[in-house]
Amino acid sequence: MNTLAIYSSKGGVGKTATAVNLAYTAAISGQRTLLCDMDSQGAASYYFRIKPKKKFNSEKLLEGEIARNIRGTDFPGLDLLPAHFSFRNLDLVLNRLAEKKRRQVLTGVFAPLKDDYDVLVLDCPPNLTLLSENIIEAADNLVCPVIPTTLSLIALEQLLKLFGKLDADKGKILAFFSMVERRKSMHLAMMEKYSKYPLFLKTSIPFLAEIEKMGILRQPVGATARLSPAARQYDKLWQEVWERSRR
Amino acid sequence: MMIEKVPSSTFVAPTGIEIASLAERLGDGYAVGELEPEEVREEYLDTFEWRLLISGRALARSGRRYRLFSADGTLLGEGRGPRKKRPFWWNFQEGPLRDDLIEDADIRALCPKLQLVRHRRFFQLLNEDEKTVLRLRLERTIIPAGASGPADICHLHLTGIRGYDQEFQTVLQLMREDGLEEIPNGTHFLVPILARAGIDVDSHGSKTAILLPRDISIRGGLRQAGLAVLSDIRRNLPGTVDDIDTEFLHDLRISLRRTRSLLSIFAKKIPGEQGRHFRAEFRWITQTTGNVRDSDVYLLQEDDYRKMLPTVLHPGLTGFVRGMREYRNREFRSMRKSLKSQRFTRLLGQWQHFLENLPEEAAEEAGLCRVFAARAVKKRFRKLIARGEDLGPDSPPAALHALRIEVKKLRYLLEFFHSLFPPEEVELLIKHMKKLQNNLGEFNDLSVQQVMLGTFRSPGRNGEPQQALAVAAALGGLMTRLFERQQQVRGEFEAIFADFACAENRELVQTIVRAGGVGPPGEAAGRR
Ligand SMILES: Nc1ncnc2c1ncn2[C@@H]1O[C@H](COP(=O)(O)OP(=O)(O)OP(=O)(O)O)[C@@H](O)[C@H]1O
Ligand SMILES: [Mg+2]
Repeated sequence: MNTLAIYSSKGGVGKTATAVNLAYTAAISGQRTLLCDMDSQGAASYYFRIKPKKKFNSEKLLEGEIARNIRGTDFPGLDLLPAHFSFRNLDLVLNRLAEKKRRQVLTGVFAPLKDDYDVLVLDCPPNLTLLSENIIEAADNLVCPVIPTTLSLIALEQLLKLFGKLDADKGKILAFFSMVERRKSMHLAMMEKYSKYPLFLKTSIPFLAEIEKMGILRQPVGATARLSPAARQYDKLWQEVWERSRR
Repeated sequence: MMIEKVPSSTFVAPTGIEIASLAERLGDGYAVGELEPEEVREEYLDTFEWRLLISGRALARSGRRYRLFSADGTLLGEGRGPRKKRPFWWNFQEGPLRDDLIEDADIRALCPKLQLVRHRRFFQLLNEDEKTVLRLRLERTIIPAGASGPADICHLHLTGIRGYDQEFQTVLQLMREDGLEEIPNGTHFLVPILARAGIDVDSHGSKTAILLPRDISIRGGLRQAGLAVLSDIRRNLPGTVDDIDTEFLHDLRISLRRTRSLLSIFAKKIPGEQGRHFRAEFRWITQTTGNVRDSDVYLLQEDDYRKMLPTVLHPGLTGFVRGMREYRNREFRSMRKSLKSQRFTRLLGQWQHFLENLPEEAAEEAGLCRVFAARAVKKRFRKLIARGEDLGPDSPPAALHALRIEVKKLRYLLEFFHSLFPPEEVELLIKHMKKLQNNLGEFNDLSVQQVMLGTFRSPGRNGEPQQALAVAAALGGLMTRLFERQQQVRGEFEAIFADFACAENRELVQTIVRAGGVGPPGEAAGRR
């Protein structure tokens, strides 16, 4: 099982759009895939029209009671663990745990799923907290959307710093440019400057109305039109991520 | 595995069943959506003895598009495939479809079994968020009039979605309330269709089981066993004559040998002239099939042979294979003539007539089959052990060959009469015998192969000495490898035989024989 966390400490950079579409592409290409919505806002769950069961909450999640809360999406091979409103307290709950254990909780929660799924995609909330540290620990790779702007890049630098502090393997980070607008000279300049770093993937995701519309249509772009420009771009991104993550 | 499988269920449904109305019956903002329907005319293929069906698969084709399904009708794979009427797995392109077929079909041809037209409609039950919470598939199958059919069947399949159990259960309940007949979970989707088409899958095994009543007379035993084996001969005959795959001939030869074995076991019950006639004629027909079977064995081993040889010798092997094919074609034509001859047809007719008209005697007078069988087993086993113990490291191959025949005779005896003996003991003994049989069988095969390769005449046309030389070199290489392997097999014989001759097996035979009613007085089992 390959665990991919779609992560950025910055909000609104396209994490959820990426998580939803990558998970969909993974499932279409034959991987048994589980998308875990870690963000109490539940945007990923919303895109799949899935609500959590009433008895689910953050304690249950951390106790590893997830199997019975997983629900099937409308797409074969793709399941989803919906977010619960109480996930907003995840950090509080984690903080109460013993210092030694509290960074590995998520790793332990997901481990039992290894025979059921080939790919685990985590849609993460925009934080830089104990939950983030758990995610770094649990994930084989962090896929980080970066809008080619200064602020977005600062978020990436902060992440690298946290990796340094935790003495984690920076090779896990796979960054890519998200919501790229070619007519903006600042976007082009930033990409020119940073794309040479090996931590950046070659594929980027342009700013497309089709992706924005997912909020209305409530399904992955590939389900609306299998061969649309956006769907193809996510296919490409998935292929590159999959290849890099297996190196 | 932590995650449960999603539930599913299948019902027999009236053709005009209405799915859309389900939404109203559920209330609460539910709706039913329908996807693109599908109509396919397909032909289902399977091996002669339905191996795909038995291992929970189904292979369909429309034109050259092949689709492989699992027992519950889920599509497992699809792709273009061969045009051939009866393809083998090796006629498919490399890929997952082919991999699946390798496992299930093995060396058997995939034969057209039934044709049908399937209309499939796909529905989804949507909740208030327009999320799919249950999938429904209405499948109408029409079997055109012909060898099978006509028939018209309608099934409704429900497939749950993980985490939406309540909806599945509710609809399941509604269907039950409507009185729809539920097909037991796990039933292969073709099974009800085959039943309606009047196709009997069970009658297609390669060997008919012989089940004898406990107190049957000797003649009764002969009749029943003989007729069962005769039906095996008849069942495999058309496939052999049409050369559908190599297993038909293989199974035909097994049933011919079993018939000859019956003729020798029951020699006393088949009077003089008649007995001689049957023995001679069945020997004749068995022998006319030998060369084709042998060449099949070489041709099936082509890949193994190739692996045994260095690349430089591969062209020579190719030449050998080509020659072998030509030889097989010639031999096949002459075998087919014999199998279709009046002489053989008459033989089968006479044999059947003889078996069916065996005069019935009172069991007490004629003796019980189980007593007779038990004596035969005891005698065979003793003889086998004695022969085996006489063998030393220097014994010639012919001695091992003779032992192999002894073992085979015992094996046939146990197979004919297993229903008269305690089943566990028989099964165990046969299991132990298999090791010995494999060793002796391989030893013998290797002898035969070496002789055959040594005397094989390259079909190289005149003026191709180069080619003849390449073939000879390849065969020389093969013979060396086969000889080495044979030495190894021979070396393993002593230990394997010692294992077989152990006290445990002697006791097994004792128990078997005693149950048949042979043993010290008072201990005769049975008489229930
Ligand atoms: N490539 C894109 N082109 C156009 N719109 C996009 C693109 N990616 C994301 N969006 C839109 O931008 C908004 C924010 O995207 P998204 O929710 O994926 O970001 P996020 O990083 O998950 O945000 P948050 O931090 O709040 O979870 C959404 O309305 C989404 O539809
Ligand atoms: Mg988000």
